[in-house]
Amino acid sequence: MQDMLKLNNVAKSFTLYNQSGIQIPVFEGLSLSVEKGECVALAGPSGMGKSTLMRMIYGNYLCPAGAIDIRHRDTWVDIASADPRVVLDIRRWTLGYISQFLRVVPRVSALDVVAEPLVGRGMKPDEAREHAAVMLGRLNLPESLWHLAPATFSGGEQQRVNIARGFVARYPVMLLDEPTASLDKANREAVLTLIEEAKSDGVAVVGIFHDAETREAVCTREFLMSDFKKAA
Amino acid sequence: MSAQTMQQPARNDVSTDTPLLTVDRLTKLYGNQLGCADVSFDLYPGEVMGIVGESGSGKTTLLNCLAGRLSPEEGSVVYTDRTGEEVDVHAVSEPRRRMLMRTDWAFVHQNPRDGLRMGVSAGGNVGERLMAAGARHYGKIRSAALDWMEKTEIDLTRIDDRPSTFSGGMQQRLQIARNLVTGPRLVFMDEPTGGLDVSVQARLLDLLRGLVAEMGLSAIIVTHDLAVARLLSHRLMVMRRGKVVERGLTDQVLDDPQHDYTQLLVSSVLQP
Ligand SMILES: Nc1ncnc2c1ncn2[C@@H]1O[C@H](COP(=O)(O)OP(=O)(O)OP(=O)(O)O)[C@@H](O)[C@H]1O
Ligand SMILES: Nc1ncnc2c1ncn2[C@@H]1O[C@H](COP(=O)(O)OP(=O)(O)OP(=O)(O)O)[C@@H](O)[C@H]1O
Ligand SMILES: [Mg+2]
Ligand SMILES: [Mg+2]
Repeated sequence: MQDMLKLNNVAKSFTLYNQSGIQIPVFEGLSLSVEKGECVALAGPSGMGKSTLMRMIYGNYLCPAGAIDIRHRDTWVDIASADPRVVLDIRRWTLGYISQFLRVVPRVSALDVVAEPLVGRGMKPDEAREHAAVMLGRLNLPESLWHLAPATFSGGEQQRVNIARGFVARYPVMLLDEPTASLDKANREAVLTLIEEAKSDGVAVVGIFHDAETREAVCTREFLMSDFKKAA
Repeated sequence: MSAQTMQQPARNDVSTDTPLLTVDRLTKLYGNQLGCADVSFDLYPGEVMGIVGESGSGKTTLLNCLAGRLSPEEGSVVYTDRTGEEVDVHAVSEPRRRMLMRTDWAFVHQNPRDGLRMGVSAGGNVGERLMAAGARHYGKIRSAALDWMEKTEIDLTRIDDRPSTFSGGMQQRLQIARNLVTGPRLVFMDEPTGGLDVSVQARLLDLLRGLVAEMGLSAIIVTHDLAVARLLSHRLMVMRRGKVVERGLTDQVLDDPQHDYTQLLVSSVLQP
C-alpha cells in the first residue's frame, strides 16, 4: 500500500518562559509511517504527548526537529518546514483533524460550521449545506438545532457538530483526537461507521481512542508513544 | 461524495502564486523614537495577516507605512496591481498612489469618524467612494450603496441619514461598506472592532469574516485582541518595541508560542 504520512526522527519539548524558563520534554527520535486505508492508534498513558504529536502533524504545534512529510497534490511536503500558506492548503485538501472539543464561532449556525470546509473548497454555500445536513443527520443531531449557533449546545452535541465538520469533506489523511469521548453508545456507533467508510475509501487515519473497545473496533495497529519518552 | 470533494483544482494551488505585497526591511522613526524597525514579509492574494502586540509596539505605524500614508526612513513596499505591474508604493507619483487607494485598496480606521464624512448621508458616504473610483451612473451608484448597506446589515430606511446619528457599531459597518463597495483587492484595518461593545463586535467580526472569504480579499488587520486575530487572520505577526518578534500560522503562534513575549501575551487572556 501507498504511504501517505511519514514522520522521521521527530522531537518536541516546550519551554515555558514565564515559569522561569522551565523545559517540558515530551518525546524524541519518533518515526512513524501511515499507509492508505490503515488506522493507527496513538497509545500510551496520559501526558505522553499523543495530542501534541497530532497537533504537530496538523501544523498547529511547531515541529522543532525531524520531518513530517505528507503526500499532498501528488508530491511530498514537509509540514515541519512548510510556509503557512502551504499548511493551510494541506488542511483544505489533504489533512482533516477532529479535535476533542469544538471551537465555537459566535453567530455561525451548526449547519454553516459543518458546511464551511466545503465552501472553503469552492462549493456553493447551498450545496455545501445540503451535504452538511446529511452529515448532521447521520450523527443524529436534532434538526431543531441545525440553524442555531453551537455555543449553547451540550458537550455531546457540540462534539457531533465537530465530527460532522471533520467528515463532510473527504481528506486523504485524517487525525482524530478522542472523537467519541463525550458520546453515548448509539452516536459512537455512527462515528465508527464513518471511520470505517473512510478507511475503505483509502483514507489514512491516525487516532487517539481512550477506550479499548473503540480502539480495537477501528484500529489496524497501535503505536506506543511511551517508547519515545524523553527524559526530563 | 468522496470522489467529487477529493478533486483538487489547480486554481487553488498556492505554489504558483506571486505576492500581492512585498515588504522589505521597513523602518520608520519619529525623531529618535522608534516607530517600527526592519519589517519584511510577503502577502499573497486571498491572505489575511494579523498584526498583534502591546500598545505602542508600532502596529499602526507599520500599517500606515504599508498603506503609503507614512513615509518610512528605510525599506520598500512593492504592490503588484491587477495588470501584474509592480508599483513601489513610496516611490510612485502622488496621483498614482491616490488612484491605487481609491480603486485597489481600502483603509478601515479604528475610529469611524476618521474614515467617514460625517456631514454626508450614509448613502452618500458609500456612493462617494464609487464616484471617486470613476462611477457616474446615479441609479447604479444608489443601488450599489443600498446593496452594501444591506450586506453590512444597516437598516435601508437610514440611507439619507447622516452617520453622526448612527451608533458606533453602525458607523463602523458603514465605514466597511464605504471601503468595500469599490471591490478593493487589499484592505488595511486598524483595530476594526476596537471601541465597540462585545455583542456588536461579534456581529462585525462575523460580517468581516464572511466578506473576506466571499470576496477573496487580502487584508492586513491590526488588533490587540487575540480572539479577533484567531478568527480573521491566516497568519500572524507579533510586534514588540517596533520589531516583529514572532510570526507564523495564526493558530500555531497562539497555541504554541515560541517567544517569551508571545507566551506572556497569550497567557494574559482567558481564551485567545
Ligand atoms: N501548548 C503547550 N504548552 C506547554 N506544554 C504543553 C502544551 N501542550 C501540551 N503540553 C505538555 O506536553 C505534554 C504532553 O501533553 P499531551 O496533551 O500531548 O498528552 P496526551 O498524551 O495527549 O495526554 P492525554 O491522554 O491526557 O490527553 C504534557 O506535559 C503537556 O502539559
Ligand atoms: N506622530 C508621532 N510622533 C512621535 N511618536 C509617535 C508618533 N506616532 C507614534 N509614535 C510613537 O511610535 C510608537 C509606536 O506607535 P504606534 O501608534 O504605531 O503603536 P501601536 O502599536 O499602534 O499602539 P496602540 O495599540 O496603542 O494603537 C509609540 O511609542 C508612539 O508613541
Ligand atoms: Mg490528549
Ligand atoms: Mg495603534
